This record gives sequence, C-alpha cells and structure tokens, in this order.
Amino acid sequence: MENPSIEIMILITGITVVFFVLIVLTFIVKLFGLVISKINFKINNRRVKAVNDIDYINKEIESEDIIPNEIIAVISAVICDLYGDNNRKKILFKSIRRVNNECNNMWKLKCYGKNITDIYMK
Amino acid sequence: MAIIEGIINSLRDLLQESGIFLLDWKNYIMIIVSGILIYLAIYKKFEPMLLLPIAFGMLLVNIYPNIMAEPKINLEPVSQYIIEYGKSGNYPIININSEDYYQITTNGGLLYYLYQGVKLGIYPPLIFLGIGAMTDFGPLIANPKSLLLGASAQIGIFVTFIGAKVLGFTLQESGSISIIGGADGPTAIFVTSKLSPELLGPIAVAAYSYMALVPIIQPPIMRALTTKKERMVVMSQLRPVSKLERIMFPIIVLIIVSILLPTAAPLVGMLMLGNIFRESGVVDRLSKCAQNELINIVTIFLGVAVGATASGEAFLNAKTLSIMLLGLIAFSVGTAFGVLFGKLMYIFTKGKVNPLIGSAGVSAVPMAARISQKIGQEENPSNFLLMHAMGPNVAGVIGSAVAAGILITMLG
Repeated sequence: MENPSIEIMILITGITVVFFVLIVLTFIVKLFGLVISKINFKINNRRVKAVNDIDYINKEIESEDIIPNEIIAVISAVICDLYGDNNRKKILFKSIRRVNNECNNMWKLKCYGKNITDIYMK
Repeated sequence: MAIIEGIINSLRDLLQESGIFLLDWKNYIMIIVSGILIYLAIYKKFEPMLLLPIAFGMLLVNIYPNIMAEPKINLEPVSQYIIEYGKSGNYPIININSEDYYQITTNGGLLYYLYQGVKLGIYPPLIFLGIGAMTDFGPLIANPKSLLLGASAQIGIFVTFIGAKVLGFTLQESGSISIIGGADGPTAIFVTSKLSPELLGPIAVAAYSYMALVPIIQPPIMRALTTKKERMVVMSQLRPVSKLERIMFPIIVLIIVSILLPTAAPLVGMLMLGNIFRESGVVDRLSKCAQNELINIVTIFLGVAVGATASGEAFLNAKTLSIMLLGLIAFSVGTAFGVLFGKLMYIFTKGKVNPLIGSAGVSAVPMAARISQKIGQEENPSNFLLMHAMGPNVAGVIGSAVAAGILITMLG
C-alpha cells in the first residue's frame, strides 16, 4: 500500500456518509410516523367526541317539538360525512320525524349544531 | 477417391474447429468448477436462483468460448473480395491509403449481447425493482432505528476495502471486492460492472456462495459477541404501520437518498419503485409482474451472462483465491459490526433491543433475519425475533445500495 492516506480517507468518508444518509432517513421516517400518529389520534379523538355529542343531541331532539331545517341539514351532513354509524343515524332521524311543534329549547340545538359544524366540518 | 478425400478433409476441418483442439487445460478445469457449482446449487440448494444460471454460463463459455465473442469488423480489400467471390459485396466501404476496403461485420456471440445488460448496469436495478415489489418495509417503518443497524453492517465493506488494498489490488478492484460484504448480489454485480468488470465472474460467484453460507458464517460470530442475557432479550411488539406510511416511505427514501447521493439513485430508485407498486394497491398487475415475470427473466439473463465472464483466464488465478478470502472477511466483519452496534443499542435502550438483530443488517434477505430468530430461540424458545430482525435486514438492502453509490462516486 503505497499511500495509505487514500484508503483511510475512503474508509472514514464511506462509513461517515453511510451513517449520515441513514441517520437522516431514520430521523425523517420517525418524524413522519409521529406526525401520522398524531393526526390519527386527533381524528380518533374527534370521532369519540362526535359520538358523545350526537348522543346528547339525540336526547335533546327526542324531548323537543320541532327542529329548524337548517340544523337538521347540518347535523345530518356531519353524521353522514364523518360518522358512519347507521344505528345512530336511524335513531336521530326517527327523533326528527317525531317532532312537529315549535321547540322551546331551540337555542340549545342551534348551539350544538354550530359546535358540531365548527369542530368537524372545517 | 476424390470424394473420400473430400470427406476426410471436411472431417479433419470440423475436428480442428471443435472444442477438443480449441480448448486448453484452464477451460477443462473451469468445466469441473462449473460442475461443482451446479451440484451446490441443485443438491445443496446454495442460492440456486442465481448460482445455477451463473454456473451454467460458466460451463457454456468454457466449452464454447466464442459464445462471448465480441462483434468484429474485418477489413477486406474490395478487389480481393471480387476475385474471391466473383461479385461485389453489400458492405460499407472505407478508403485507406487510396484503397477501398469492405467493412465486414461478424456478429458477437449470444452471451455477448446478453452481457450488455450487465455492462450497462441495466439488470441489477431491474432485479431491485422486483425485490422492492416483494419487500415489506413495515418492520423498518415501525422501528426506524433499524436503519442504523443496517448502516453498521456496511462497515464490513469499507474494512474489507482496506484489506484488499493491502493484498495489492487497485482501488477500483478493492471497491468491487469489498461490496461483497453488502451481501447483496445485484449490488455487487452493479458496482463491479462499473469499477472492475474483469473481476465480475469471481466476485459474483463469491457473493452468491457466501450469501448461501450465511447460516454457517454468522452464528459463531453472533454467539461470540453476545452474552446469554443479551440473547434472551424479548423485544416489545412492533406498532402497526398505516397504509399512508407505507406509501410515503418509498417516496421519502428515494428523495433523501437521491439528493444526498445521486449515484445510488438507480438501485434505490428501482427498489422504491417496486415497493410503491406493492404498497399503493392500485397497480396489482405491475406489482405481480415485477415480482414474478420481470425478475425471473432478468435473473436468467444476468446469471448466465455473469457466469459467462468466468473464463479460465479470468477465474483461475491467485486473485480469485484472494477474492474468496476477502469475501469471507467482508461478511464476517459486517456481521460483527452489526452485532456490536446492536449491543450499543441494548445499552442505550437499557436492555430493550436484542443485539442479535444487528447481524441481520447484512442484507441477505430473509436468511439473516431467520438466523437471528434461530439463535434467539436457542436461549428462549418463546422469543420471536423474526419481524424485529426484518427491519435491519431490509435496512441493509438500502444501506448496501448507499455504500455502492459511495464507492462508485469515489472510485469511478
């Protein structure tokens, strides 16, 4: 080996570059995995919240006489788009059909309708 | 009488052009060597998918050397041609020193043309396309630290590079020999075809033979470098990996590696292309084609063409023995560094990582991962390390492609 410095240079450079490239990859794959898991966590959390909110709305609607069309439309859209639980849909729509009088607690439904729109439709 | 004389002359001409007179002792020895490799491939099942076509290519070229002949252009004076054949020929004419010559082309041998795919670096990336379509990167995505184990196993390549230089090989030859340590046949062939094509035969035979010998080479090194307590470590289950991650992974890897090291792009790019075919789920036909028809066809062409470079002159010399020895060193050192890095991770994670999975960073997929599983189960039969070892195993494929890119950049 006439000039060992070239070989040593290739050894050190090669090992350094391999580690550098794979460390960068490790970091980016890990970061991406964390981002995805956070997004999934948020979506799952929203879905859990949606379940709780819709349950509450169901109970409110069952106790009301009438529900304005726009609120029905909003709630229906939210349920259909985000939340594909057919049983709950049936219960909700059954409740809406029962109602035919002016509602004393209309403001409550408007409030919950708006909340759902703000949180889930944006 | 004249007829008999004619028959005898024809037979004598045929005999003189037959292998009995054209072959020398080196060819006969190589025929025996190819027979041994065919036996190892068929009866001992040493990586038969590639070793069998390589061995057969070796047999072909040593029985009929002209199967690898290059095309030639012979110059014949036009006047002489007309006298000999009684008419003018239909060849291009070139004028040299005021005399016209016909440029008469003789075609090359069959394997010369198949070999162009090796020489031009086409076949190995196509094989990587098929490998990518067959590979599940899930265990690696679930535990990205496995990439570091894949990196550490590639240290064997650069240590062997020094060893090859010490033994008197040139820089390019040393680079080609050292890539055997990546335990990746297509990568070894890709690098050798670029840096030192005359060593293609022995390097390919060494690479595939040692890949088949992984179950023999690795276990003693793994047991020597780890304690019983370390081998008994049970790792926690890997997290599930979402489809989005599986789809984004090949894109991320391609972008990062190609930006940082463009010469690795052909291998890594095709590997990731195959993988995105598999993970997207919308190009099932392409994925199946890459995993089956494409890789099989290219394997045949690559194997036979590479084997055909192993003529007597190229193979039967002291260099080949050195290459075999250095290949063994490359594998062993790669395994050792993988396990040692695994021990480092064991210390840093306070015993959560089993060092045995480090040896799987040598990218002999999936054999090296199975060896980690087997050695782990010797200490604890209920320890299932296979999926954990698959992470470093497939990381090693990426690592060896990166190492190949570095060697080509620095030595090409």
